[in-house]
Amino acid sequence: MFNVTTENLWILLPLIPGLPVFASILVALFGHRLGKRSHYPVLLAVGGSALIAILALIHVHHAGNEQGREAIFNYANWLEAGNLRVDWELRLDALSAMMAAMVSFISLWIVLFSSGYMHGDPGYPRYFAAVSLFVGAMNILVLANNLPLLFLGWEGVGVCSYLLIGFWFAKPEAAKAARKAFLVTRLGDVALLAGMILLYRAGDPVGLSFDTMFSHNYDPTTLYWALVCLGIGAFGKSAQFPLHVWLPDAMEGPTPVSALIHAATMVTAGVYLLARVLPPLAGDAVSPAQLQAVGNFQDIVLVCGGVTALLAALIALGQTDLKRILAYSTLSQLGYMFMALGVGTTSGTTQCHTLVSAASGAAVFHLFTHAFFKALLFLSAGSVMHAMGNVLDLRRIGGLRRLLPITHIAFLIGALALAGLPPFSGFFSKDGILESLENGAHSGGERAGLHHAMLYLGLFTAALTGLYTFRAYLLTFWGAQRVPEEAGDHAHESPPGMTIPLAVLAVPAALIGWAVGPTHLFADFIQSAPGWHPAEHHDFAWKMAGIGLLAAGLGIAVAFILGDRRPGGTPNNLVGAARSGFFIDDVYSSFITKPCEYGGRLLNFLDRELVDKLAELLGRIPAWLGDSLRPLQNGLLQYYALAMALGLVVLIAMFTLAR
Amino acid sequence: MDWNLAFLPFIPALPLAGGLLALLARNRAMAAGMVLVACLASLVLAVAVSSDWHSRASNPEFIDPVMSAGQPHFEMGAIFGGDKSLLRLRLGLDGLNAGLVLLTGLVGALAVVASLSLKMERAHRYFGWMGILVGLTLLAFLAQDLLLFYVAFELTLIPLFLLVGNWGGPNRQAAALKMVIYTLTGGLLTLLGILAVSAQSGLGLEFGWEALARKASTQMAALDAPGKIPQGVIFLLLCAGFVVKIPLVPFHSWQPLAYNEAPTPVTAFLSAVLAKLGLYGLLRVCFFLMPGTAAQVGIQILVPLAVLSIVYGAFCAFGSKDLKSLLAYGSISHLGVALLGMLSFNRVGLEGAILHMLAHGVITAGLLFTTGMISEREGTLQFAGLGGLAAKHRLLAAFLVLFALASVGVPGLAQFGGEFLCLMGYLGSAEYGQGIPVALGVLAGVFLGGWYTVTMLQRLLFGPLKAAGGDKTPPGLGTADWAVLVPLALLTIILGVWPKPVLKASRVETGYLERQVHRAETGSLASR
Repeated sequence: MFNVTTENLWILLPLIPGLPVFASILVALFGHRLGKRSHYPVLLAVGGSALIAILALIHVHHAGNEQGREAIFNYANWLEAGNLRVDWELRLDALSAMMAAMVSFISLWIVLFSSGYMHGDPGYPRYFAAVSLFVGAMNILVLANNLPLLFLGWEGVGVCSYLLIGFWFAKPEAAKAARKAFLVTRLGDVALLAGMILLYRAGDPVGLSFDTMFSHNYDPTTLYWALVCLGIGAFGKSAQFPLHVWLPDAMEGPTPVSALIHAATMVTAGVYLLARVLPPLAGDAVSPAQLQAVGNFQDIVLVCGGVTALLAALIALGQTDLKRILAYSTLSQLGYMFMALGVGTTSGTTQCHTLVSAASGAAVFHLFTHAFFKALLFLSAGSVMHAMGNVLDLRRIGGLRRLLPITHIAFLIGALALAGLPPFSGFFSKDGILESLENGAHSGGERAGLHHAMLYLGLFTAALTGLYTFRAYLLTFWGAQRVPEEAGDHAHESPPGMTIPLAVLAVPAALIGWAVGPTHLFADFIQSAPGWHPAEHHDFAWKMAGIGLLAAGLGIAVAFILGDRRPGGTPNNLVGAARSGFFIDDVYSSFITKPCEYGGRLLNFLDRELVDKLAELLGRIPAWLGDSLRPLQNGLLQYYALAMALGLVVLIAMFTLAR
Repeated sequence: MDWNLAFLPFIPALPLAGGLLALLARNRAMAAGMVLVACLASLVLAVAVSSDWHSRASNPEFIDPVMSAGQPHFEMGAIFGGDKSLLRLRLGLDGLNAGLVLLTGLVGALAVVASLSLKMERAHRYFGWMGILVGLTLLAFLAQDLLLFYVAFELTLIPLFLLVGNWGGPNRQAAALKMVIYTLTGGLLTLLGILAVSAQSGLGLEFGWEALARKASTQMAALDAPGKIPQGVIFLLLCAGFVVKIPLVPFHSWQPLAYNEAPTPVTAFLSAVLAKLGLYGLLRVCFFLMPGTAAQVGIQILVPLAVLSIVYGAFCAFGSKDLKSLLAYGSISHLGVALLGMLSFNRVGLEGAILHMLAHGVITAGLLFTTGMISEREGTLQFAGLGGLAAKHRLLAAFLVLFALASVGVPGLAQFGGEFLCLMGYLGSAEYGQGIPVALGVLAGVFLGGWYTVTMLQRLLFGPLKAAGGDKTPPGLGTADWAVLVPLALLTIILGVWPKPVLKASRVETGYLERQVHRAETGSLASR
């Protein structure tokens, strides 16, 4: 069998994004011919890129010393002007290899699932073209070696997400949700652009490349603002408070899209970005002022992550739609990851580097396990939706465990992982985050207090997670069987094309945390990336794990006590507030959307009725003065044209004679 | 003289001749055919000559003598007034105009193709004036001489005036008149500026670019003495015509009306090419002639105007009720970014601005041609009367989404590179005091740009079908439609992925301007 080696890597690496992009173009151009076979090229391409990415991951893992674990390939020049040079440049290191392998592997199974789920849709080729393009763009995002190229992937996944949320474009809600997702994430993207400009200003001459970016001696103020801008970009993409409003609405897209883009991959891009930037920056911070700047930024990350985790968990409790519960749980889990990214200390460079590396490793670990179990949960929800005629309202479905036995088991595994029960994967990764928060709280220094507060918040949210997850599980699969009439004769288990991906994803969702967490395999690997502090091995911290488990158990117990009590039609104030997402959408609407819309209309009106009329008024002045010339204004265009031409001739003649 | 330079005069001459012949033609098909063949031949010539030029210019050892001994150019001494004539036919390609000449040739030819299906009277004249417009624009871009440039620049108004005034929408005469009065007023002020330069620089009647740039920058400074017109005033006079042409807010109120009333192919040419003529004039005439003044006055006056245009244009586009005026205001907003890039006076921003101009030309042409096809099929462009068109016109919708996303600045498509470099160039070097408000304005504009564009897509393409032309599925795209949209779509992608040839082409000229501005700034510091 063929192997990825240092020699052939340069040609194999671009195939990871290249194959899906190529398949996408193929399907886009020849989709009308391919018709129902449109998923074959995509399956082949994504399968190929998954294979290469996994081989590349193994290659990096075997590469031994730290130097061999980083490979950078420069293919061509992209943008070069003056002293700015941005290249088509890919990098392979532990972080990017892990991300690429995870993204391509999960995509493969979701593409397979989609071929069953989307069967018979008139937009079948369009769907697969967009999904394939998405896989390509996401791989560019994680493999890019400079910020502008990362930005290409970043906006590319945004565009694909836009096209896929609005896939059923004739539905006004879908079209609206697509626009909202595009714009809210774009707000973050504009901030990311500003961050790049600031980093460039601060003195990085060679195109914001990840291998030279961190060793600069940045001016602390500029560094702080640059990080804040990058952070806003990350918040937008990863749907963190206050830019989280687009993600729940994004559930208007087909469910496999929610699984792939809005749970497992794209929304983790923000976590990836900060994990790419923070550990090396903490390690290379040359002055206390720089360290302070990084710390100040991390405070924001910590608080926003914590607020999102708690808020989203509360909102999830108030939801009645299974997919929306899962969407809010994604927000909440991403909030955990951001909390981990906020862990650090300002008391010393080495200490900070160790702490930030370990905590970012925990964030990326949770990203990794979450991708599997959340994809599994969403696909199970998709399977339910497929059987129930697109109804996921927990007031109308229930007791489905007999009708959908495979889906039931898959969902249960996902729910156990999400709630964080051992030995399921979520337990180990969530524990890692709680532990990093505890380490941050015990690190001393001025940031310790905030870490303490966030630790308690994280534990409380863990209890809420257990509650809403198991409540959703119990209401969907237990109690009296309820099948809505929309289901028709569809109310049976999904075809193998959909159940096989469920079975495949259930394995890592159940076991991968246990396999790579306590064995230090994951931490050792990720923290061998250049710029990271190598992992330190501690014994498993039973105390924190026990408290976390207790919290989750409490939540689950409450869910069992509530049992089959379904949410009512008219909620009381508190539940109503949670159901509407605490009115954050209304705040945006009345403070940003509406004013901008009215402002636009007003300016447009003023421009036509005031500015233009003023200009016309000015234009009249010569006419009043030269009233005697009126006979010349006879309204015949040709005469005006002739007059202009004559004028020019006279002008030229004057010049010539003037010599 | 190099063999290929001998072909240069044919590039503008072919469409001009084709247009003039078409005016005399008997019938529509003949006229359209002549103009189309002439435009295509001119495009082929332009590609051949400029690729030869490019292969020489991208040689790293090619240090353009710019402005030290003169770029090779075609010269035909006198065309008016004998041996020591003023108005010489001096044509040449260089880093500043090469791309724009190609853009003009391409969009010109495509505009003719897109006009083939227009329903109109006296069509042979329409095609004739179209050819003349393309020829004159090519002449303006190719001119290596200020006076020739100015004459061609002003002459473009005549065919444009007739095209809008005769074949436009219901309000065409008012639109044409307003456009002409505006542009002519600006143009006359520019002429005053030219006269002042010629009088004060001691150059007399030598109007070649290199001679002007070489002498003007040194001698103008020395002549800034009491009793003379201040340089700032001369600079602003020079700018007037170009600022109206782009247009910049608040000199823009002719533009939405003209865009709306003009036949869509003419609007496409107006927005894709003629607006660039304004930016090009600003760069070539105002900045190269008076680099020191440009750096001072430009930053005090033009930067605020550029930012105003970006934000104001975006808001007005947001409030537009129909597609064409949305694109008109959007164009104002986008071109403000290109101007900002130029005003950085460093290579990053300048080269970015040139890329931005070409990218915007390609994308806006694509958007407007698509618009024309929609209006042909539906008979209206009002948002109120349209919706869910993606279900009816699938291919047109796909093209519209591609061009719209490109115009929003999605990386990998044409606009991003230019926008990114313009912002990097300006904001990466601006003083904090000015940089922060400018950055806030521009970034708000970039965000709003996404907003109104995506809202436009949502209103027009998505949601339940609401079509003025009924809801039966019409036949797909015709041959002419494919011929117009495919080249533009391909260019949108190619310029996004591989903008290097464009960026590299202008490095000598932009480097020269960067040095000149730097020298002027350090010089004025030293004298202080």
